[in-house]
Amino acid sequence: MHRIRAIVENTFKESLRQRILNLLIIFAILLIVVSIFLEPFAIGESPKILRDFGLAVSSIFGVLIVIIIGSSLIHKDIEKRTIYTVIAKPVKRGEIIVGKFLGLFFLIAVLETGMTIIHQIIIFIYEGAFDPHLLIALPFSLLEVMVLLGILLLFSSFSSSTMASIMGIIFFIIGHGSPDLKLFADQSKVVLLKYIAYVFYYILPNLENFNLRIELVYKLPVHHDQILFSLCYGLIYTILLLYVATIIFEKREFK
Amino acid sequence: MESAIKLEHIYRSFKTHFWQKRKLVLEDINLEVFQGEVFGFLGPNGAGKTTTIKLITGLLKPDSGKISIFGMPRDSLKAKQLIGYLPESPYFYDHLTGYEFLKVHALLGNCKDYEKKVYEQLEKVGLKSAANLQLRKYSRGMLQRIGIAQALITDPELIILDEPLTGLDPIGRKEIKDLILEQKQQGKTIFFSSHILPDAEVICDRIGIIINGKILKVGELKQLLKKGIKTDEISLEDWFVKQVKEKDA
Amino acid sequence: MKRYIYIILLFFLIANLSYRIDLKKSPHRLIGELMYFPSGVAVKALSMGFYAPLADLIWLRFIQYYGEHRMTDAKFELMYHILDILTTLNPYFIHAYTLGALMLTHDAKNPEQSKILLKKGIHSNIKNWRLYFVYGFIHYVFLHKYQTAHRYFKIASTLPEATDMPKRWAAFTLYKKIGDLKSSLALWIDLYNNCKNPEEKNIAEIYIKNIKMKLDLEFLNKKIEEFKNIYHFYPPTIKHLLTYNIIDSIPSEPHGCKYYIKNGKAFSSWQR
Ligand SMILES: Nc1ncnc2c1ncn2[C@@H]1O[C@H](COP(=O)(O)OP(=O)(O)OP(=O)(O)O)[C@@H](O)[C@H]1O
Ligand SMILES: [Mg+2]
Repeated sequence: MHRIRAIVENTFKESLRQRILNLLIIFAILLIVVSIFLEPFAIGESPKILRDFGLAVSSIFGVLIVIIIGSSLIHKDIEKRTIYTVIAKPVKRGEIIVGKFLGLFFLIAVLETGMTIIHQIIIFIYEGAFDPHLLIALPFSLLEVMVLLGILLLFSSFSSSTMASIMGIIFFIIGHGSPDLKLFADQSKVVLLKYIAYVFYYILPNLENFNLRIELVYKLPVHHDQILFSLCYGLIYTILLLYVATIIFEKREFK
Repeated sequence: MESAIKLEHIYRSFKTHFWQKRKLVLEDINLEVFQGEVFGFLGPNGAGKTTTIKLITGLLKPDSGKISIFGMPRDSLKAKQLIGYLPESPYFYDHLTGYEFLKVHALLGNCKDYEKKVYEQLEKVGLKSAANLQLRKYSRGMLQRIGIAQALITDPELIILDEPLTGLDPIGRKEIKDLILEQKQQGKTIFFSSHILPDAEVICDRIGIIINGKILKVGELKQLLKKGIKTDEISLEDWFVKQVKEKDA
Repeated sequence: MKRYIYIILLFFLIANLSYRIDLKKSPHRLIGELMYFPSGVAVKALSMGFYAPLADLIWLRFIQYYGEHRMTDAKFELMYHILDILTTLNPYFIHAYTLGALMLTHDAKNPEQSKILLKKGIHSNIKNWRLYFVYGFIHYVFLHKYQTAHRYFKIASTLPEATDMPKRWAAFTLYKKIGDLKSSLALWIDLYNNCKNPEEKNIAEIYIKNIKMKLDLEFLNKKIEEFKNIYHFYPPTIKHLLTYNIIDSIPSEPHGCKYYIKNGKAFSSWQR
């Protein structure tokens, strides 16, 4: 445990030094600007826009950080050869993967929590009351971050950091387009194509499972089973990704 | 005497480009380093020293052959626990302070009382005053020393140093040499590679010479020098140049 | 080997969870998302510049929405809203206007919205003859505003790339009212032959079949009267018309149903 902790702390600090938390200020400014400027367009919808926009932007910020920093987590260490002394210590490769994962994940968790608090405060300023219902979006947004970070680490474990970010973006798009994949599968008349589409639909990460933003903004009912299953889905998917990343990383050499 | 490192029939090749043929870099390396000795691994540029060391520390894997550390397979965590490693021209996390850097490695090396160990090491390599300085502000010599501190922090039985003396001024070299000898006094095994032969001459019990990926000679320093030149007075450097020339001819 | 088994097991678990989550999700979520956007402007602001692909995506979902509701409840409350968002994202999406207007009139029974939609399309695509044609078409066939229809068909016929269809239709509107079933049938068949996408053909087909049925019934009723005049009783079945040599053959029902006679009047079993 202490070995993972050391890597987690190290990764957290390294990433923190890139001044990521400054995004909080940008987030606050964005929200205020948007809520002021969209007001005249919104025609009575501005409370909704403030909510939609706040949730969307905080989620996008998290995803951006995953893709930008997550892709270089392992590569920076290899390119700068800082990983050499780490590999030579009695550390399992899996511990490095998990440590890197948790280190960046915790940082993003701090960031997103900060953004959620700012969001709530701005809602409070405008409406005189908090909207605690929206808080459910936070763990789900973090689940999405988890899965994406797992994907980036998986690709980092064998390909370049550029490749890893591109794959991250592709999986992000696919992951949110999965309802359309299902639609395609449902409607496809070619049986083979239909089954291939279904297999992809069920195997590829379905990031829409973590997207409850609309339901939350409109206070629509969300079945608690859906919440529970989505939670399990995110966790198990992440475990799978990290497991595969570890297997690949164990074979990796440092030339 | 028991062996600390044992390399048996190690082969290793690299592909520079994926369409090119593999280039053999290490060819049938057999080498044994005994417990408690200081072993100098010498050879010209590109001979395969760093490659050999990376194989021992697990950064690379051999194409074939067997590597054991104190009789244990190299990949086992137990074996790794006994190794301290300083890479060639090391780079460390720029933004960490000397203290933080050592702390990470102490924790990775399963040190129980890491705080005490970190300060001990900082003291030992003379970097106590720079403990809270970020590594990017360290000089070349300071980096080399913090690198050695990182290798020694787990109190390893086997210390592997890839060119620990390169890039240091005479005082720096003296300090490192003293450190190596001190470790030897404590019964530790030291395996290091070097170009700087006069320094190696002072501290080595035995040396191994590698040229073009093949071990040319292994043996006690005094005997090798005698055998080669038949007089005690000639330096290792002269002897070495002669050996390389002979080999090329 | 063990590792592969673990990985496969995890994948099965994931697929299973994914399946369970889908069961709990609200089924109309796809289009539901759009419902909550007050306007296309908001969607556009959030689409980060990817207007056209987003419009395409909405189009795909719209088709899905249309098919789903046609099969089930025939409620199309959101139709205009979706089309409005779509055409705000991509104002040059001609299909969304033409087909959308047709669906709004025929399925959602809301010609006013289809007029607004087409006006919006014409605003952005002044030279597109199809938009004028569909505008005229809706006025002619559904609203029976023959003058407006005539005007729009004429405009359409002068625009670049226009086929001779609008010219034909403009001529039609001058001397034939749509109450005349035969000319109406000719128009629909003309439309059917000149459109390419299945949805449009579908709608045309429905009208063609209906008109054909009405024409058949008109014809049969006339023959029934003829029968009565000769034999002084109503034929109890269609077959009687044939056996008494009043007609040469029984017209085939276009929906695949049967014609029959009840109380001296012809009906189609499709009408029930
Ligand atoms: N990653 C690699 N890909 C291809 N060739 C490599 C790689 N690493 C090393 N080599 C080749 O292997 C040979 C040995 O390299 P190595 O670094 O082990 O030499 P060395 O003895 O440490 O040299 P130096 O004294 O300069 O450090 C060289 O010819 C080098 O070109
Ligand atoms: Mg070297």
